Order: sequence, then structure tokens, then C-alpha cells
Amino acid sequence: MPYSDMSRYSVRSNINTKITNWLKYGLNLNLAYQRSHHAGYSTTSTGYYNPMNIIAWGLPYATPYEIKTDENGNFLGYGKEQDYITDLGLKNYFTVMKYNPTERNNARINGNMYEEITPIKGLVLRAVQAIDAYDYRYTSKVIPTDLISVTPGTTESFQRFYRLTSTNTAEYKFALAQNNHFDILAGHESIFSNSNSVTTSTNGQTDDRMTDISHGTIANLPSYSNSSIAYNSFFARISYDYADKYFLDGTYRIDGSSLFGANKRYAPFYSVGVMWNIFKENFLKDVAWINNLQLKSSYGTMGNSGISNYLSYGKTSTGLTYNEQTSWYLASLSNPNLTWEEVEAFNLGVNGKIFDCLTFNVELYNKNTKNMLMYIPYSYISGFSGGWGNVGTMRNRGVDVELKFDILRKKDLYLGLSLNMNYNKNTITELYDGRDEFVDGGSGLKYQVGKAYGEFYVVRFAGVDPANGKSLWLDAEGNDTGTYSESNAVFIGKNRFAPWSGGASLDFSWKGLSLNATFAGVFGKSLENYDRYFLESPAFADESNMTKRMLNIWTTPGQITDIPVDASKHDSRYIEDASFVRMKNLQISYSFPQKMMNATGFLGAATIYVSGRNLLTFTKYTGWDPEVDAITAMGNYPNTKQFTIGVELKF
Amino acid sequence: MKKIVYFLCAMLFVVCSCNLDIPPTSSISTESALQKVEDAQKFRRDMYVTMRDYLCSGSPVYLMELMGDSFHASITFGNRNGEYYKWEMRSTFGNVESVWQYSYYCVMLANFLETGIPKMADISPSDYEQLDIILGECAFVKAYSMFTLTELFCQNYNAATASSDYGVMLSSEVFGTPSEPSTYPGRSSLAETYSYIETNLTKAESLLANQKGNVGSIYITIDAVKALQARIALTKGDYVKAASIASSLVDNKAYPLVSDLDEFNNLWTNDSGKECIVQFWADYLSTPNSNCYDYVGLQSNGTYSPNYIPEKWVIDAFDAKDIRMKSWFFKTPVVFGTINSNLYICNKFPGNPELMPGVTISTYLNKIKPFRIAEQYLIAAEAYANSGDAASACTYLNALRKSRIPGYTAKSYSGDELISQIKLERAKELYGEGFRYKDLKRWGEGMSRSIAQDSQVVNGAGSATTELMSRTASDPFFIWPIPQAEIDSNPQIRNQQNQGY
Repeated sequence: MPYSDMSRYSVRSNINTKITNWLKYGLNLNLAYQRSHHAGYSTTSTGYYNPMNIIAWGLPYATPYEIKTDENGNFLGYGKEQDYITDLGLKNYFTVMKYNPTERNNARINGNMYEEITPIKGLVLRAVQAIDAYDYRYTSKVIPTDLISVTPGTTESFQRFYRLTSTNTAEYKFALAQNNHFDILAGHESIFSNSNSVTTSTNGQTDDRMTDISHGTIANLPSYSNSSIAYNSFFARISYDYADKYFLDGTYRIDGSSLFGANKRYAPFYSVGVMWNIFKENFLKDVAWINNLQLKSSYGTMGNSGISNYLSYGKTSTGLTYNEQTSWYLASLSNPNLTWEEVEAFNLGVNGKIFDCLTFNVELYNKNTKNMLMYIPYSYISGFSGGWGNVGTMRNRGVDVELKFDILRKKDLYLGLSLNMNYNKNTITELYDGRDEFVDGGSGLKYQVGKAYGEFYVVRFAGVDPANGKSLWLDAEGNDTGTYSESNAVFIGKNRFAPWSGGASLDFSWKGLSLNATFAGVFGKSLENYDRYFLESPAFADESNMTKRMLNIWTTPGQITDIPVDASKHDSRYIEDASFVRMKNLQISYSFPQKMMNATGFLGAATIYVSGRNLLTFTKYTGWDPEVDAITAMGNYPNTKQFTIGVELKF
Repeated sequence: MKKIVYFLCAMLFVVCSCNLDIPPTSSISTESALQKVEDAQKFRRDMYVTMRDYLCSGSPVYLMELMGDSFHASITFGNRNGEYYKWEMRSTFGNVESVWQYSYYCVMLANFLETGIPKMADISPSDYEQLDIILGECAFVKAYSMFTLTELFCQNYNAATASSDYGVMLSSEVFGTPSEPSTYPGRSSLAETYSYIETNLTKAESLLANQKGNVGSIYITIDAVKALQARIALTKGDYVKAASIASSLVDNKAYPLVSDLDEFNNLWTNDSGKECIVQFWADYLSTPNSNCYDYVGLQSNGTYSPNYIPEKWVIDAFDAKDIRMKSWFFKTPVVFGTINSNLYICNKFPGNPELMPGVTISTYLNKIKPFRIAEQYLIAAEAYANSGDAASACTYLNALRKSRIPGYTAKSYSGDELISQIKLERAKELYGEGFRYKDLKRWGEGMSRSIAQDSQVVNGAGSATTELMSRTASDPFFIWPIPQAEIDSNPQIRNQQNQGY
């Protein structure tokens, strides 16, 4: 991408010392600085200035370059970049990028320190203090000669973030009567974080050479935000095992967060787990083909606090002035009962290794998410569109399977294959206010008890009427109709989330040479390829490029085709199967022999490698990239193909 | 010694629990926000800003024109607000939801002040006067916002059926915390809705009695209350009341009509405030929305390609000497892709330079004029005509025309001719100001577009759904759909959607 670049510098240090035989101390520190320039408008917007759109929509002759012709009008080639693309009536998108530069830079510190005391044998007191902080700056400009923007201007944004974490634990391990092993842990953790930002801008810069914020002629009021979040947790765990065969594990914790309402900030969670190490049993002693075997199960609850800050407060904020005086508006309703979302999970699993070459891990799970944190729509009579609350229950049931085969394992030769697979079934089991369905207006999704979250709820497109070339739809009862109506929307059995997903990794090594290939795939996922709305609709045929499929557009009565002559509606026609298998990574590397390293006298290890990301994709999806995590793909940047060549040296 | 070291190390394990009560610093708690007169003043200003930006400017204004017969969409309009222009709107549309949302926000804010002000601890008798004004404004805002919704979401008032026809949801209470969906109100009857509106206006009239009217007032005055009363009476068909209030405002001569072209331009470009009973305050940091929905379409390369072009009948209706024609319209070459034409385009909202400093192409921002005296002339004329007093009706009609058309000689009309002349004058005078669709609905004459200035540059030339679109008065789309968000969140309104949606 032109006008985009990035540079990064980082420093890392790890120190671990044993001061006395009962006191240990350690420090990890990371410092990083990153600066990047981004082309203006390089976002996932729906306009022409999104490069993903222009490359698809732009007519062949609507190029960013001057078209050279001879006196007879014959094409000679491309000339220099032009500011305006006359055929589109738009400014050249390269010019737009050039005249809307942005710069971001970020200085980050990430460190933690621990002290560990062992006052008596088996007892470990450990304290960890961590800090994560960054200072982020963002500058964006609209250069005065930009022809598109009505107002030149410069924006400067400053943000500082820090998070302090203090964790203290006491752990005591002891054994009773030889085979009874106990491990008791109690602890406490507090986290405090703060994010603070100021954004200010001026307009009216007049010269391309003087575009700093101080060069403007009109000042705008700065915006400011300040947000603090705190967590406190108290926890205890008891682990017991008998002779490394029977394991019992129990935890109890109380978590509190400032994110929640005054009445319900703290909530208790617990879990119990058992494991049976069958492999250690005497009756398996003589079974040579079993190398490891364990059976495990657990049940417990966990809290989730994934919401924005200050949602429990009834807020009054300052609005626009009236007659040059401050105004206050009511920004939200309070919810003092806002509290933790709770995930109640049951797991049952078995893992082990057989025939000295196959490692396996199979786990069944059933998770109920209760008191889900959701935005609840209110009647507008309240003055608000809605607010956050705890409503609804959802169930996820599924199985995880991991397999690892050691196909060849010789002294200098290794060939291995790892596979993993997940199947998940999601069901909404309860919605707010006792209702059994709720349409999420405009998103094409509907929540219904008994259905999965994310199933498309749309009007079904039924093809083209051969008589007149117009679109046909199915009504709710499944009959053909020539009228589009949102009331005919139904569940179409396609889901934006894949129930099946999996991966595979192939490893091969021979002496210093090694090859690794990883694949990822999802199956049963659907995605609306909304780029086609612009590329396969007669409504845009006179202004933008079309796909080849448009050659099939209905032209004569009786013609059977799938491209109608009328403008598209937001129906099921663009929802495609977005299942895919993708080679995520391929790496070939060579490590120089240790002997050679020793000979250098200073090198510990040296490896050279070549790797590529996203080199191959197998999918039926016709858009840019099936891996978009959204209901609708529209102008999204695809995952990039990357090639890397590298050398790794250790001293 | 070793014990001391242990102790020192243990000091590192300070259990420092955080305080979890961290209220936001950039806002204050609503529960404690309203304590003294200055606080009430701040909330009061938000009522003005909200009315200005969401009820009196932007989509609630220009959609009334796009849904009427004021404009034709151009061939390059790109279906911008095309669903409204073609009468295909749905309950899920943002502009339908927005006017509903902000009307109820205004009511909620007024209710918040009405319940909160009597409980304020920190007031003295000298504050009572200010507080009465604020309470009067609250009553006005409640009436104005509920009337806005009634005009859009309810059928025309008919005394015989009003107690069984649907009105809108009414509220006089404040919902402090998320309320139970079962406590939300459903739709009241149209009779109850009008009664709510009128009761609040009567209250506003007494509380604002000392707020004397002044030209270009930025606050609600007693004259604004009357102007709204006259507008409502006309809509309701209470012609005696409408005629009496509107004529009293006009006869008072407090708001002289402008007849000089320069002064007229000054009114529309620089927002001089002349003729305005209310003109909301604005500056470049606190701007309203534009009432111009890309009527001009000036491009960066200096050409014009508007999305919406005035209909031919509008242009034809103006006398060549009419200062409104000279001020609001101009004929210019337009470019739509590869097609050129020469058209009149609407420039009634050219943009006030004071509101858009440093801007090279106008953003068409002007101060908002929700009540002009010219409307009261037209209300008086229409109300007198409908109550059988043709002579008085002609007086007000002629007075308005005289100020707009140099050398105009008074004419005498009667009967249907009088009514149609008044309707035509209303279409001309209030063009672009958000009255047209509501007037057509009120008159029950349906909506018909007619042949364009240049058919080859309008969307769907010759089509009965665009250029020559025609809808009867009984068309369900004369009544807007209750927003889907309300239907989804409020069980009481679930089965009260308007017909046809």
C-alpha cells in the first residue's frame, strides 16, 4: 500500500537471581517503540476511496494514471499519476492517500518483578508486581491542496494507558503418609488500569508546507476522556492426589470489578475437578501398547466482565453550547444491579499415548453462559434506546479432539502430523423479558430461543422470473412472490459461525533441515459477500465495473438465468458458503551443525529460514477472503500473503 | 536477624485492594445533577439544542419535502433517501427512529426537570421567576415534540373518531433505572394525545406570559406558544381558534415582513432573524443540521450536480419579480455524468458564513427558523377562508404577496379559487421548510408529482413511481411506521403498528 510504512524498536531483558537459598528475585522488562504511517481512507469503508472497492469497481479506463494516445486515439501506454479521475468524477485515490496522511507512534513498557520466599520447606510466598503502560500519539492531516475535503485541518491525539497488577500468593505443598500429596494455595490479586486521552484539532491551514496543528486558523474544542477500571480477586485452591493416581482439585474465588453496579460488584465462583491417572494402575503395567492414559472431569463457574467502562452509571454529560453557555444532557440510565456474566462449564476428557506414536486428547464440554452481558433495548419513552444489563442464557456444547502422530522418528529423521478438530453447537436458551425471539434490527440476525446465535434471518431470494427478468423471492410460507417484504424473512439454516473447525500441522526434519506446514479450516460457516451488491447489480452497471456473471443478465422473455434486471435487495442472494481450508504457514529452515558452531567460538546456533503465510486457500467463497469475522463482508482487507526470509543467530 | 529479613520481605506482600467505586470523571451522576438553578439552566439548554438539531432541522425537515411534490430526484442521486422519495420507507429506517427517539428524549428531559425542580434544595425565592420560565419551556417542548410525532405517525384528526384512533405514547414520569417492559405505555387515543398537547401549551402560556416576543428570539416566547397553538388548531381543523390566534400575532405588527431583496437575502443567508418569532441560536461549534438535502450539489471542480431538483410547477408558480424566486432559486448549467442541462436549482439554505468558517464549499448550514410570521399570515388566511370569511382571508394573503412581489396589486378571491390560491402560496412561501408532506396529508388531496424541468436528468423519467409518482390521500404511507425498535422493546405497542407496515 502506498504511503504506508512501519518501524519498530524493542529491548527485552530477563533477570532471575537466587539471593539466598530462601529468597528469589526476578525482573522481566520489555521496552518498545513503534511508528507507522497509514494511507488516508485505508479503512473498511463502503466508499470509492477504500482501495478494496476501487480496484473492483473502477472501470478499466478509470485509472490513476494519465492515458497516453497517439493522434488517432490509439492507446500508447500510461503516463504520470493524475489528481482527478475524470471518468469517475472523483479524485484519484492515490492522491487522496497522499493528501490525508496519518502517523501513529506508540512507546510501550511492559515489566514485572517477583519476590519469592521459602521460609519453611514446602511453603512458597510469592509476590508479583507488574506494569503495562503505553503512550500513544496519533496525527492526521487534510492537506490544504486536497480537492475533496471541504476543510483542511490537522488533528493531534494523545493517549496514555497504564495497568498495575499486584499478585500475592502463598502455596504450601506437603505429603502425609507418603502417598497423600497436598498443595494448598491462597492468594489475592488487584488490578488497576487507567486510560486517558486528549484529541484536539485545528482547521484552516493554507499552505502544504505549514500543516502543523499550530498553523491552523480555526481552533476546535478538544475532546478528552479518562477511564479507570479496578479489579480485586481473592482465591484459594486445594489440590490433592493419592499416589499420583487419583487427583482432586477444588477452587473458590471471589472477583470484584468496578465495571459493575454498586449493588453487585463482587461475585463468587468455584470449581471442582477430578482426574484418574489410569496409566499408573497396576493392571496396565503389562499392557505395552499404552504409554499414557488419563481420565479427567471438571465442573465449575467462571466470571466474564467483557464490557465497556461506566455502563452501570446514570450519567449527565456536557453537550453543545446554547447561546454560548454550557448545556447538560442525560447520557444514560443507571443500572446498579449490573453484574458478572457467569459461565458454568462441565468437561469430561481422556488423554494419553498409545503404540509409542499416537498422542491423543479428547474432551467433551457443556457450557452454559448465564446472566449474559447484553445491551437491552428500552422503549424510547425512557428517553434512551437501551442500556446494559444481565439477560439471557446460551449453551455451547461440543467436543475437542487433538491427535499427534509420530510417523517416523529416527536419529536424524522425523516426520510428524498433528490434527485438531472442534465441533461446537450453540443454542440460545433464554432471552430477556421472557420473550422467545428478538430481531436485531437491520443486521440480518435474529435471536430465537432454541436457535443458534448467528443464524441468518433474511428473505429468501428465489431467482429470476423468466417472463420479465425481475427478482423473485419466497414468502414466509415458501411460495414464489414478486414483492420484496421484510416480513417474509425466515431462518435459512446458515450460520455466520462455523460449527466445525480444525487444523493440521505437518513436521518433517532431516538433520539440520526442517519443514513445517500448518493448515486451518472451518466448515459450515456462511458469509454475506456484499461486495457483489455493487458488482452484480444493474443499478450500478453504468458507473462501475461488473463481474463476468453479469453477462448472464436476463435479456429475453423465457430466458433462464440467475441475474435479474432489477436492483438488488438485501436478501439471501449474496450469502455464500465461506467454509475454507487455508495453508496458514509454510516454513523451511536449516540449522547449521553444532560442530560448525563450536568452531566459530562465539556462535551458539545459527538458522536460516524461508516462510510464507496464507499461500494457499481452498474455498467456494467468491469474495476476497472467507476469513472475515463478520456477518457481512464489504470492502474488507483480505489476509495478506506474506513471504519472510530470515536468519536467527544465538550467541 | 533472619526474622527481621523475613519481616521486611513480607512487607512486599502488602495486600493493596483497590477501591471499586470509581465513578466516571467526565460526567456526573444524574441522581445528583439537578441541585440549583444553574443546573436547571444547563438542562434547559439541552432541550433547545435537541429541538434545534433533531426535531426542527435535518431529516424531519427535508424528508417532508422529498416525500412531497417539491423535488425530483436527479439521475445521479444514487438513491440517497430514495426510499422516502419513492414512498418505500420501513419501520427499521434510521430517520423514522431518530425523530421518534429525540421527541421522547425531549419529553423525558422535560419530565426530569418538572419532577426535579420542585425537589431542588438549594433555591431561594429570587430563583422562582427563572424556574417558572424553564417549566414553561418544558411544557412547550412536550407539546412541540408530541405534535411532531402526531403529524407523522397518526392519521388526521377527526373529532368523531379521535377517541378510538391511535395517538402516540404519552408520559409525564421519569424512568430512573431500567424499567420493567410491562410498565411502558402503549399508544394513547388521538383525542388523549391532542389533549396532552393542548394542556401543556395552556400551561406554557401561563408560565411564559411574561416572556415577551421579540424579532429573532433565540428562546421560546409567549408569541412562540401562540404560533404553535395556531399551527395545531389549523391542523386539527379548529379554524376559529387558528384564525384568531394567527391574526392576533400578525396584527400586532411586532414581526414585519421583509420586502426588500437585499434584506431578504440577508434573512436567508446571514440569518438576520427578521420575520422570525423564534430563530434558534447557533455558532460554528454548535451547529444544527442542514435543511438542504444536497439541493445545490456544488462540486469541487465548480460544476453543479444536485441530488434533488425543484419541480417545474414550483418554478412556474413564482412571478418573475418575486423576491423569493430571486433569492431562493437560480438557473445554472448542471452536469450529471455525461448529460448536461440548464436548470433552476434551490438555494434557499445557502449557508451562513458565520457557521462555517474556513470552509471552501458551503455545508449549507443556516440558523433554524421554526416559527416565521409568514406562516401565521398563511394560517390566518386558510383558517378565515375555511370559516367563511373570504374577505379577511384575502387581506392576509394579499399582505404576504405584496411584501414578496414588487408592484403586486391586491386581488379578491372567493370559494375554491381562494382556497387553492392560499394553498399555492403556502407551497411557495414555506418551500423547503418541512411543511409540504404534512400539508398534503392535512388537506387529504393525495400527492402527485408532475413533469420535470428536464425529464432526461431526473431519475425514472416518465415513471409513475418517480417522476410522475401519484399517491391518493388514503395511501398508508401518509402515516409513518412506528419504529421497529419501539415495537421490539415495548410489549404494549407490539400490536399497535400503523396499517400497511
